[in-house]
Amino acid sequence: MLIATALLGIWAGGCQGVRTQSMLHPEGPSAEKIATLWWVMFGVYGGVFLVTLAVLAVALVSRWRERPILGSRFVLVAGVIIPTVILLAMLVYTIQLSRQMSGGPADLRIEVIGHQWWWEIRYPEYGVVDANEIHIPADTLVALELSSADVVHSLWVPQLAGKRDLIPGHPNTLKLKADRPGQYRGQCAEFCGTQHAMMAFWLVVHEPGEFERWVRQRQRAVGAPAPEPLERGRQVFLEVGCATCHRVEGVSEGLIGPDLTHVGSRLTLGAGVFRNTPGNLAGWLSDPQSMKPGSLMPPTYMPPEDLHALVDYLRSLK
Amino acid sequence: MAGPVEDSYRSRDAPRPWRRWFAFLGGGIAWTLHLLSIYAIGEFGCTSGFDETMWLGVSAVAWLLIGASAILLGVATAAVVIGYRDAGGRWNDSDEPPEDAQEILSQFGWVLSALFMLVILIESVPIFFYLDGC
Amino acid sequence: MSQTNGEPTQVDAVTNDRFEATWQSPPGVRGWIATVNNRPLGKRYMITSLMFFALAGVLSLLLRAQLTVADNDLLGPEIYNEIFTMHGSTMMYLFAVPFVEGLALYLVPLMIGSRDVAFPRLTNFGYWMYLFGGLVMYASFVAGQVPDAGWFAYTPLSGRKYSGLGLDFWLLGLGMVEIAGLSAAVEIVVSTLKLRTIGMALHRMPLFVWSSLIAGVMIIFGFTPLLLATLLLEMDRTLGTHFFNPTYGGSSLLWQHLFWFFGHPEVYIIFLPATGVVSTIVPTFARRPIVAYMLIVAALMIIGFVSFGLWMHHMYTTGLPEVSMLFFAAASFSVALASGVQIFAWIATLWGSRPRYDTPLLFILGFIFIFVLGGLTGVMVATMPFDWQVHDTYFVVAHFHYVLIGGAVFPLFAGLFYWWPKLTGRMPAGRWGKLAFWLVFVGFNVTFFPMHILGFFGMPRRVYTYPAELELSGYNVAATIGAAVLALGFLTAASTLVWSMRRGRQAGNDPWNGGTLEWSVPSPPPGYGFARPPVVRDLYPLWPRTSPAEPPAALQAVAATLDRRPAGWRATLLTDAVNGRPQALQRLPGPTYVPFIAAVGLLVAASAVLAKSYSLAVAAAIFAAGVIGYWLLHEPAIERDEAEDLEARLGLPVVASGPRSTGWWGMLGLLAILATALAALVYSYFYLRLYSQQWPQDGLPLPDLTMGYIAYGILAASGIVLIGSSWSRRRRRGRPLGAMGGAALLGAGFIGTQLANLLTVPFAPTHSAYASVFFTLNGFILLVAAAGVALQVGLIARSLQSPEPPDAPAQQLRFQVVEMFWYFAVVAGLIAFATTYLSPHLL
Repeated sequence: MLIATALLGIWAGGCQGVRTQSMLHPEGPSAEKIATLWWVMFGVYGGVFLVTLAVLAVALVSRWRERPILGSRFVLVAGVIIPTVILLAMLVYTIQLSRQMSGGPADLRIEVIGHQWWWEIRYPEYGVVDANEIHIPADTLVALELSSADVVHSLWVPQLAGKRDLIPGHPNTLKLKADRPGQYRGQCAEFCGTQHAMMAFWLVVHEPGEFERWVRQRQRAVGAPAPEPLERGRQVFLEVGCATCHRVEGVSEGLIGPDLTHVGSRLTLGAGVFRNTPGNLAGWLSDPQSMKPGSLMPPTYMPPEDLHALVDYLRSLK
Repeated sequence: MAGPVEDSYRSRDAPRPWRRWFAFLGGGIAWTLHLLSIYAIGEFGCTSGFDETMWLGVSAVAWLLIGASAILLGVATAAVVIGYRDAGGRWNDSDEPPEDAQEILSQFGWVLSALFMLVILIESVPIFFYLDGC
Repeated sequence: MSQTNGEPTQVDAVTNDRFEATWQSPPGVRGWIATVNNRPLGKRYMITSLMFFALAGVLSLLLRAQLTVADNDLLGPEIYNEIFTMHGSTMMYLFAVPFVEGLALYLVPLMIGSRDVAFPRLTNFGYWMYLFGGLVMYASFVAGQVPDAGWFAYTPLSGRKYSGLGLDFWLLGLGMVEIAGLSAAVEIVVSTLKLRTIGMALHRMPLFVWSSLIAGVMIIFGFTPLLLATLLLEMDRTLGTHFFNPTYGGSSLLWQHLFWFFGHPEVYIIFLPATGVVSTIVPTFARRPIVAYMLIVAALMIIGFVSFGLWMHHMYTTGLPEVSMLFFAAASFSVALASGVQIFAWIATLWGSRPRYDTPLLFILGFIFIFVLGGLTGVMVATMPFDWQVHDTYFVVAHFHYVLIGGAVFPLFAGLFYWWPKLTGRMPAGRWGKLAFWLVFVGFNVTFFPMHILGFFGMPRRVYTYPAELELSGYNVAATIGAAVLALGFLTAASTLVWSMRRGRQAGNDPWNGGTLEWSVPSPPPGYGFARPPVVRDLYPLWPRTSPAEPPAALQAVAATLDRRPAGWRATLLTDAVNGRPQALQRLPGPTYVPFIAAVGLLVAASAVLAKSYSLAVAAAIFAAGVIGYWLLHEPAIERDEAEDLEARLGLPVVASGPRSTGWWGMLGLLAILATALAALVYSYFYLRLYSQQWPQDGLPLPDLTMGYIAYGILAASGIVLIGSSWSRRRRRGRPLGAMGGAALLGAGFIGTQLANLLTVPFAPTHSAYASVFFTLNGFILLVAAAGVALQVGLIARSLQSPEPPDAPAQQLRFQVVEMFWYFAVVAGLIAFATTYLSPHLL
């Protein structure tokens, strides 16, 4: 009955088609293999579960006997020999699957550095620095080189691949490939402190040509002197202290928080948590602690017109 | 200071105690050494890049793993054989327990060691899929 | 029939009264503090741990309330993190293991027919350490600095850069609880090996006793690495060493290895005694012996070993070599065989038995359902690629609650209902017990089953909230409703039990027709448990014999002689570990404050570390060590006359030495703990080295080999002198005391030389991880050597004060344990020398 409920639940979940963080809705070869593995295990071990319970039920309802009719031999066969056969088969299947998933040489290298509580993304081959968004071309094997600036984090995009930890002092690599363009949500999966829950990101998959365009756009320098209507915002950015922690190419060199050179074109704010709208941006700038309590971003007090100028300036950084 | 009570069970032609205890614990000890060695060979061998050394087309790490598994499987097998012979091929499932529990050590030990042998075998399966390195 | 053998007692009223008085604990608070008897202390362990269980349960309800709907801000991240940390830590460290230990301390002596456990004062000490440790952890709430790094406390998040004082409360409290666990483990192991009653050969040991024995051995090898890891982390936090600090060459993964080397066996340490409970209750309700007894023992042994080979399956996502991970996947698969054996043995026992569906059996059947499911998801989680997806998601949360609540709490509640009449003398009300079961069973599944699906749909563990866009609310609402039902079920169970203590029907000795020895004594049992040691011929001594053979008259005579004897002092019978043949008497201590004072000393030391007054901490620790020394020197007294009388009538010594004595085995247990700690330190050394570019790190000089040779050469020489002492003692030639004095002097020489070596090393322990591990490994040896020298000096002083012939068993035993300790110190020293001095030169 429970199993039936489960099946129904998973099936119903599948129908809604909005599961952006579900391992059972794979969009890449690695996640597809694991989803298949799950359904195989579900069948095999679900069968074992049902058979075991059936045997127990028969034991309880069978006719009264003075002495037990089953002895050590039954226990040996049912408890050791049959399970050994099943488990050996599953072990060989698992090993073969692992071998297939090892990948091969990757076509694109991306560095991911975990911070409390955001993701720094670097494309060393293109000289692009970004945060909380990973852009990759479709149908290309990508190697994410994982490291951490503080504590242990774990990178997880369930629709594309299993997770891999970002451990300070122990570099790691996660290879993944996406079948088709789309946006897939990912999240930190290793407890990393106060805002572990709000350390998410989006993995954006482009058509290869479109990815090239995206790279070129990111490589374009924003330039120091902003156009006139935005100059006030740039001043505010430098005056209220944003520049100490954040880098905007040609404007500031802060390294503590995310790079803001192209913040205007990001999908989200606060590490994948809020949609990047003017309202959210203004709220985030003035009172980040109520949107993401415990975040390392301090509140900034400024007159409304300065806030508007700052928001306009940041949104212009595309 | 052996009292009269103690001596009443001793028989002269019984196997030596070490054979009993080896049958009883030999499999477990072999398993422990096996796990520790395959862990150490894996962690230290793969991390240091030793697996790229090839002998006869097979990775040096795989050779080490095969060697350790063969030796320790041998130890477990020895425990099974010794226990089986001392127990006269019987294994006890408590229907007619012998008076002296020393005999239990053999009768039960060889079955236990055989199960540990099975575990060592299962754990050795992955080696043969990674003959070319980690 | 008050005794298994049914013979009327032949002792006079005077002896009887003296016997009763000897085993009495003092009344009131004094007795409460000073009692060393296993039954009140075992009960107290269980009650205390159930209180922590209730506390952790309340915390979990808060967690569920926070998670019911998306984007909830009922608790907020800080409080949520604190609460889930305390929930997990309390359940794992303060409830599950102590409960199991308490149950074993209570039941094992009753099941093996002994009057108490092997080291009663240690039971008392262990309980206080446990209680104080729990209080230290919860004192963090009062201080407003609650631990918030999870029950696993991964470094560097739990290091001093990212976590506050709360972690110190956590580490120190945990350290004390671990010491309690180790005490109870040594206690249970030695009692099981040495105190089994006449004729209880290995194959007549109840399965609960087998499972406690194996769990006890596992605690020794599993808790020690954790105790060491918590000490190292506390040193990182307070003294500034760098074991786990990647900035200075430490490794955060080293913590994970040490933690999970404990963490996985921990699950089985809880689970094994629970299966022991199942294997006890199933035959009683099936009214027949367990099927495949030997295979169940084999399964327990396999779990005992193989559970130490699974720790890496908690680390599949840390980027280990693929082939290594697969070894651990294979090992995890094979441990499933051991559980399969037990499940089918229980089914075979129940087959056609038409059991009575009382509360204990219902909990057992619920256990089988839940545990089989949880075990199978366990095999899935051990399957590496699948784990990459579900690791640290709610799928894993569901899995381990199925295993821990289903696999351990259900059997433990079955056990509570089953042994409640023994504990309290009254039967729990059947109807309310059954209601409690159904509420718990349904509530449990409604709470935890949906969590599997939450994991699939991307809900990670340890998040205080989740966005609405993930559409996880439905399953979370179900889980919260289930949690409320579950809590109601536990509340019903608790009230049923408490109510029955007053109002329940009188139980009598054996209300369930159980077959094991605990049902042969009155309910609740008197302080001594067994007035006369039972003579055992079967696995189920209280059931009609399967073999008609009567026990030999010699054995019957031993039992009869010990009927309410010795009357003037506490003692129980020592038997051999395999066959249960009588070997000697074991004198036991009566009520005392000494262990309590030692525990208070350590509590003060821990509090002083929290208050950052380190000189007070050192002083308190030295005080506690002194109290423990006093404790070791004060052996329980015996009355000469009665001793000689019994010795003559039994033909057995009243005091034993060597492997016959409990003291010898106790020392072996202590050495096993120290050896495990040493192995963990040596492992840490080479692990740190493996992941360092340069060794010694940071261009530090290689250790000075010459000075090392000198210091450790003196230590080796001391070992050789002690071999001479031992030789002359056994040949009764020469002066063993004099030679031991020489060994002690050389030992002191080693301490002085090596201390000078360490003080002249041109870097501090805080320089880098290399420096930290170098100093710690050598410092560990210095501490062991200092303890060894103290033991030798204590023995010499004692022997000079009250000379005893060296071949008197008590004196022999003292020599033996001191020699064992010092041989260990020498070998450990040489291993440390080879690791820290030789290996960087040679490798």
